[in-house]
Amino acid sequence: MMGIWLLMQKLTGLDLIRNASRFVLPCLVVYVLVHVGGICYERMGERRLLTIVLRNSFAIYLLHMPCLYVLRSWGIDRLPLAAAIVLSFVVALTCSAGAAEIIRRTPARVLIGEGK
Amino acid sequence: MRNHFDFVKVPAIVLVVLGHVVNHYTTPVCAVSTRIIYLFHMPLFMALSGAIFAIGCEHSRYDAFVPFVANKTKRILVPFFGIGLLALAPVLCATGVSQLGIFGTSVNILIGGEMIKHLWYLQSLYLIFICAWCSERLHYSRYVALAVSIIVAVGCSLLRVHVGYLSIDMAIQFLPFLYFGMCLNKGVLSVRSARGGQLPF
Repeated sequence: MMGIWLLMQKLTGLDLIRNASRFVLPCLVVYVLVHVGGICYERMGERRLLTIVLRNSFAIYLLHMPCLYVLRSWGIDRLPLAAAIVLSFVVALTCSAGAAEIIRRTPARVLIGEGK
Repeated sequence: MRNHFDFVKVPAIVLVVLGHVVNHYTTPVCAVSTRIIYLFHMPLFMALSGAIFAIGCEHSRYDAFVPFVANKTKRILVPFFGIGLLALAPVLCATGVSQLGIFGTSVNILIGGEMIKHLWYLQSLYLIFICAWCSERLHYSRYVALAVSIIVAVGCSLLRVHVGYLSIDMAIQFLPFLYFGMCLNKGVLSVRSARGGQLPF
Protein backbone atom coordinates (compact mmCIF):
# COMPACT_ATOMS: atom_id res chain seq x y z
CA MET A 1 0.00 0.00 0.00
CA MET A 2 2.79 2.37 1.02
CA GLY A 3 4.69 1.39 -2.14
CA ILE A 4 1.69 2.23 -4.35
CA TRP A 5 1.31 5.53 -2.54
CA LEU A 6 5.01 6.35 -3.05
CA LEU A 7 4.79 5.35 -6.72
CA MET A 8 1.75 7.59 -7.20
CA GLN A 9 3.62 10.43 -5.53
CA LYS A 10 6.59 9.86 -7.83
CA LEU A 11 4.40 9.69 -10.95
CA THR A 12 2.13 12.63 -10.17
CA GLY A 13 4.71 14.83 -8.49
CA LEU A 14 2.09 15.76 -5.88
CA ASP A 15 2.75 15.77 -2.16
CA LEU A 16 0.43 12.87 -1.38
CA ILE A 17 2.09 11.74 1.83
CA ARG A 18 1.82 15.11 3.55
CA ASN A 19 -1.82 15.40 2.49
CA ALA A 20 -2.68 11.89 3.59
CA SER A 21 -0.94 12.40 6.93
CA ARG A 22 -3.26 15.35 7.55
CA PHE A 23 -6.07 12.80 7.87
CA VAL A 24 -4.27 9.76 9.19
CA LEU A 25 -2.53 11.38 12.16
CA PRO A 26 -5.58 13.22 13.53
CA CYS A 27 -7.71 10.10 13.01
CA LEU A 28 -5.21 8.01 15.00
CA VAL A 29 -5.12 10.55 17.82
CA VAL A 30 -8.93 10.85 17.82
CA TYR A 31 -9.28 7.06 17.90
CA VAL A 32 -6.94 6.80 20.88
CA LEU A 33 -8.59 9.72 22.70
CA VAL A 34 -12.11 8.34 22.26
CA HIS A 35 -11.02 4.99 23.62
CA VAL A 36 -9.03 6.48 26.48
CA GLY A 37 -12.09 8.65 27.20
CA GLY A 38 -14.15 5.47 27.27
CA ILE A 39 -11.82 3.90 29.84
CA CYS A 40 -11.91 7.03 32.00
CA TYR A 41 -15.71 7.20 31.73
CA GLU A 42 -16.02 3.60 32.85
CA ARG A 43 -13.62 4.10 35.76
CA MET A 44 -14.53 7.61 36.91
CA GLY A 45 -18.22 7.81 36.11
CA GLU A 46 -19.84 11.23 36.39
CA ARG A 47 -18.08 13.99 38.28
CA ARG A 48 -19.67 17.30 39.14
CA LEU A 49 -16.99 19.43 37.49
CA LEU A 50 -17.12 17.36 34.31
CA THR A 51 -20.90 17.64 34.21
CA ILE A 52 -20.73 21.43 34.58
CA VAL A 53 -18.17 21.78 31.79
CA LEU A 54 -20.12 19.36 29.59
CA ARG A 55 -23.39 21.19 30.20
CA ASN A 56 -21.76 24.45 29.12
CA SER A 57 -19.42 23.05 26.48
CA PHE A 58 -21.21 24.54 23.47
CA ALA A 59 -21.55 27.92 25.15
CA ILE A 60 -17.88 27.82 26.15
CA TYR A 61 -16.98 27.13 22.54
CA LEU A 62 -19.11 30.04 21.34
CA LEU A 63 -18.05 32.60 23.92
CA HIS A 64 -14.42 31.85 24.78
CA MET A 65 -12.96 33.77 21.83
CA PRO A 66 -14.66 37.10 22.61
CA CYS A 67 -13.38 36.66 26.20
CA LEU A 68 -9.85 36.03 24.98
CA TYR A 69 -9.91 39.06 22.66
CA VAL A 70 -11.02 41.29 25.53
CA LEU A 71 -8.27 39.88 27.77
CA ARG A 72 -5.66 40.48 25.09
CA SER A 73 -6.83 44.05 24.64
CA TRP A 74 -6.31 44.52 28.38
CA GLY A 75 -2.67 43.53 27.95
CA ILE A 76 -2.63 40.04 29.36
CA ASP A 77 0.30 39.35 27.03
CA ARG A 78 2.54 41.41 29.32
CA LEU A 79 2.16 38.92 32.15
CA PRO A 80 4.58 35.99 32.52
CA LEU A 81 3.65 33.23 30.14
CA ALA A 82 2.42 30.69 32.69
CA ALA A 83 0.33 33.29 34.53
CA ALA A 84 -1.12 34.56 31.25
CA ILE A 85 -2.08 31.05 30.18
CA VAL A 86 -3.66 30.17 33.53
CA LEU A 87 -5.49 33.50 33.79
CA SER A 88 -6.74 33.38 30.18
CA PHE A 89 -7.90 29.86 30.70
CA VAL A 90 -9.71 30.48 33.97
CA VAL A 91 -11.32 33.73 32.81
CA ALA A 92 -12.40 32.31 29.45
CA LEU A 93 -13.99 29.25 31.03
CA THR A 94 -15.58 31.12 33.93
CA CYS A 95 -16.96 33.99 31.83
CA SER A 96 -18.27 31.64 29.14
CA ALA A 97 -19.94 29.33 31.63
CA GLY A 98 -21.29 32.30 33.61
CA ALA A 99 -22.65 34.05 30.53
CA ALA A 100 -24.15 30.77 29.38
CA GLU A 101 -25.91 30.37 32.71
CA ILE A 102 -27.39 33.88 32.40
CA ILE A 103 -28.40 33.37 28.76
CA ARG A 104 -29.94 30.04 29.69
CA ARG A 105 -32.38 31.79 32.04
CA THR A 106 -33.69 34.09 29.30
CA PRO A 107 -35.66 33.36 26.11
CA ALA A 108 -32.36 33.99 24.28
CA ARG A 109 -31.22 30.50 25.34
CA VAL A 110 -31.64 29.45 21.72
CA LEU A 111 -28.44 31.45 21.07
CA ILE A 112 -26.44 28.77 22.87
CA GLY A 113 -28.25 25.95 21.14
CA GLU A 114 -30.78 25.25 23.88
CA GLY A 115 -34.52 25.57 24.30
CA LYS A 116 -37.43 24.23 22.32
CA MET B 1 -23.61 12.26 30.49
CA ARG B 2 -25.33 9.95 28.07
CA ASN B 3 -22.30 8.09 26.72
CA HIS B 4 -18.54 8.14 26.66
CA PHE B 5 -18.53 10.48 23.64
CA ASP B 6 -20.03 13.09 25.95
CA PHE B 7 -17.20 12.43 28.38
CA VAL B 8 -14.58 13.08 25.66
CA LYS B 9 -16.26 16.43 24.87
CA VAL B 10 -14.87 17.83 28.13
CA PRO B 11 -11.14 17.46 27.31
CA ALA B 12 -11.99 18.51 23.73
CA ILE B 13 -13.45 21.85 24.82
CA VAL B 14 -10.58 22.40 27.26
CA LEU B 15 -8.12 21.78 24.42
CA VAL B 16 -9.97 24.26 22.19
CA VAL B 17 -9.63 27.01 24.78
CA LEU B 18 -6.02 26.05 25.58
CA GLY B 19 -5.17 25.98 21.86
CA HIS B 20 -6.57 29.47 21.34
CA VAL B 21 -4.73 30.78 24.39
CA VAL B 22 -1.27 29.40 23.53
CA ASN B 23 -1.72 30.16 19.83
CA HIS B 24 -1.13 33.83 20.61
CA TYR B 25 2.37 33.27 22.04
CA THR B 26 5.50 32.77 20.00
CA THR B 27 7.76 30.92 22.45
CA PRO B 28 9.02 27.51 21.23
CA VAL B 29 7.01 25.63 23.88
CA CYS B 30 3.81 27.41 22.86
CA ALA B 31 4.55 26.88 19.17
CA VAL B 32 4.97 23.14 19.70
CA SER B 33 1.92 22.95 21.98
CA THR B 34 -0.15 24.82 19.41
CA ARG B 35 0.93 22.46 16.65
CA ILE B 36 0.11 19.40 18.71
CA ILE B 37 -3.28 20.70 19.84
CA TYR B 38 -4.21 21.97 16.36
CA LEU B 39 -3.32 18.58 14.91
CA PHE B 40 -6.37 16.95 16.44
CA HIS B 41 -8.61 19.24 18.47
CA MET B 42 -11.07 20.19 15.73
CA PRO B 43 -10.96 16.72 14.11
CA LEU B 44 -11.84 15.40 17.57
CA PHE B 45 -14.83 17.73 17.79
CA MET B 46 -15.95 16.79 14.30
CA ALA B 47 -15.56 13.06 15.03
CA LEU B 48 -17.59 13.44 18.22
CA SER B 49 -20.30 15.27 16.26
CA GLY B 50 -20.24 12.42 13.75
CA ALA B 51 -20.49 9.76 16.45
CA ILE B 52 -23.43 11.50 18.13
CA PHE B 53 -25.08 12.09 14.73
CA ALA B 54 -24.70 8.37 14.03
CA ILE B 55 -26.37 7.52 17.33
CA GLY B 56 -29.26 9.84 16.33
CA CYS B 57 -29.53 8.13 12.94
CA GLU B 58 -29.58 4.70 14.58
CA HIS B 59 -32.45 5.84 16.79
CA SER B 60 -34.31 7.16 13.69
CA ARG B 61 -34.23 10.74 14.97
CA TYR B 62 -33.32 12.19 11.60
CA ASP B 63 -35.61 10.40 9.19
CA ALA B 64 -37.29 13.37 7.52
CA PHE B 65 -35.27 16.11 5.85
CA VAL B 66 -37.29 19.19 6.84
CA PRO B 67 -37.37 18.51 10.61
CA PHE B 68 -33.66 17.62 10.44
CA VAL B 69 -32.77 20.89 8.72
CA ALA B 70 -35.03 22.84 11.08
CA ASN B 71 -33.35 21.20 14.07
CA LYS B 72 -29.84 21.91 12.82
CA THR B 73 -30.78 25.47 11.84
CA LYS B 74 -32.01 26.11 15.36
CA ARG B 75 -29.07 24.42 17.05
CA ILE B 76 -26.26 25.59 14.75
CA LEU B 77 -27.22 28.55 12.56
CA VAL B 78 -29.15 30.54 15.17
CA PRO B 79 -26.21 30.41 17.64
CA PHE B 80 -23.88 31.28 14.74
CA PHE B 81 -25.88 34.38 13.80
CA GLY B 82 -26.57 35.33 17.40
CA ILE B 83 -23.04 35.02 18.78
CA GLY B 84 -21.45 36.27 15.55
CA LEU B 85 -23.52 39.46 15.41
CA LEU B 86 -24.11 40.15 19.11
CA ALA B 87 -20.80 39.07 20.66
CA LEU B 88 -17.97 38.46 18.21
CA ALA B 89 -18.46 41.43 15.84
CA PRO B 90 -18.76 44.06 18.63
CA VAL B 91 -15.75 42.60 20.48
CA LEU B 92 -13.60 42.50 17.34
CA CYS B 93 -14.46 46.13 16.59
CA ALA B 94 -14.09 47.33 20.18
CA THR B 95 -10.69 45.67 20.63
CA GLY B 96 -9.39 46.97 17.29
CA VAL B 97 -8.91 43.50 15.78
CA SER B 98 -11.27 44.45 12.94
CA GLN B 99 -10.97 47.75 11.10
CA LEU B 100 -14.07 47.08 8.99
CA GLY B 101 -16.60 48.74 11.26
CA ILE B 102 -19.45 46.93 12.92
CA PHE B 103 -21.47 46.46 9.72
CA GLY B 104 -18.49 45.34 7.65
CA THR B 105 -17.33 42.95 10.38
CA SER B 106 -20.82 41.47 10.72
CA VAL B 107 -21.08 40.91 6.96
CA ASN B 108 -17.57 39.45 6.92
CA ILE B 109 -18.52 36.99 9.67
CA LEU B 110 -21.75 35.99 7.92
CA ILE B 111 -20.08 35.27 4.58
CA GLY B 112 -17.31 33.29 6.27
CA GLY B 113 -14.52 35.82 5.78
CA GLU B 114 -11.40 36.17 7.91
CA MET B 115 -13.32 37.71 10.82
CA ILE B 116 -15.36 34.55 11.33
CA LYS B 117 -12.65 33.26 13.72
CA HIS B 118 -13.77 30.17 15.67
CA LEU B 119 -17.35 30.32 14.31
CA TRP B 120 -16.23 28.68 11.05
CA TYR B 121 -16.94 25.41 12.83
CA LEU B 122 -20.68 26.10 12.99
CA GLN B 123 -20.97 27.13 9.34
CA SER B 124 -19.04 24.13 8.11
CA LEU B 125 -20.78 21.75 10.53
CA TYR B 126 -24.16 22.80 9.12
CA LEU B 127 -23.03 22.02 5.56
CA ILE B 128 -21.38 18.79 6.69
CA PHE B 129 -24.52 17.59 8.49
CA ILE B 130 -26.65 18.13 5.37
CA CYS B 131 -24.08 16.21 3.33
CA ALA B 132 -23.95 13.39 5.89
CA TRP B 133 -27.75 13.21 6.09
CA CYS B 134 -27.96 12.82 2.30
CA SER B 135 -25.40 10.01 2.28
CA GLU B 136 -27.23 8.26 5.14
CA ARG B 137 -30.57 8.51 3.36
CA LEU B 138 -29.03 7.16 0.18
CA HIS B 139 -27.82 4.21 2.30
CA TYR B 140 -24.19 4.58 1.29
CA SER B 141 -21.82 2.62 3.47
CA ARG B 142 -20.14 4.93 5.98
CA TYR B 143 -16.76 3.46 5.08
CA VAL B 144 -17.35 4.24 1.39
CA ALA B 145 -18.47 7.76 2.31
CA LEU B 146 -15.32 8.14 4.44
CA ALA B 147 -13.09 7.01 1.58
CA VAL B 148 -14.83 9.27 -0.95
CA SER B 149 -14.67 12.26 1.39
CA ILE B 150 -10.93 11.70 1.97
CA ILE B 151 -10.34 11.51 -1.79
CA VAL B 152 -12.34 14.72 -2.34
CA ALA B 153 -10.54 16.53 0.49
CA VAL B 154 -7.07 15.43 -0.65
CA GLY B 155 -8.00 16.20 -4.28
CA CYS B 156 -9.19 19.70 -3.42
CA SER B 157 -6.04 20.29 -1.40
CA LEU B 158 -3.71 19.03 -4.13
CA LEU B 159 -5.49 20.86 -6.94
CA ARG B 160 -5.72 23.98 -4.77
CA VAL B 161 -9.49 24.26 -5.13
CA HIS B 162 -10.35 27.23 -2.97
CA VAL B 163 -13.80 28.51 -2.07
CA GLY B 164 -13.27 31.37 0.32
CA TYR B 165 -16.85 31.78 1.51
CA LEU B 166 -19.30 30.13 3.91
CA SER B 167 -16.53 27.90 5.28
CA ILE B 168 -16.98 25.54 2.33
CA ASP B 169 -13.21 24.83 2.30
CA MET B 170 -13.30 23.82 5.93
CA ALA B 171 -16.41 21.70 5.35
CA ILE B 172 -14.60 19.77 2.60
CA GLN B 173 -11.51 19.39 4.79
CA PHE B 174 -13.42 18.22 7.88
CA LEU B 175 -16.11 16.04 6.31
CA PRO B 176 -13.85 12.93 6.53
CA PHE B 177 -13.55 13.40 10.29
CA LEU B 178 -17.35 13.40 10.67
CA TYR B 179 -17.57 10.15 8.72
CA PHE B 180 -14.67 8.81 10.79
CA GLY B 181 -16.66 9.58 13.93
CA MET B 182 -19.72 7.84 12.45
CA CYS B 183 -17.62 4.76 11.68
CA LEU B 184 -16.00 4.97 15.11
CA ASN B 185 -19.41 4.93 16.76
CA LYS B 186 -20.41 1.89 14.73
CA GLY B 187 -17.19 0.08 15.65
CA VAL B 188 -17.42 0.90 19.34
CA LEU B 189 -21.09 -0.10 19.53
CA SER B 190 -20.57 -3.39 17.71
CA VAL B 191 -17.62 -4.38 19.91
CA ARG B 192 -19.56 -3.29 23.02
CA SER B 193 -22.54 -5.45 22.14
CA ALA B 194 -20.23 -8.41 21.41
CA ARG B 195 -18.71 -7.98 24.89
CA GLY B 196 -22.06 -7.64 26.60
CA GLY B 197 -22.14 -3.86 26.88
CA GLN B 198 -18.50 -3.45 27.93
CA LEU B 199 -16.34 -0.93 26.16
CA PRO B 200 -13.73 -2.45 23.81
CA PHE B 201 -10.62 -2.31 25.97
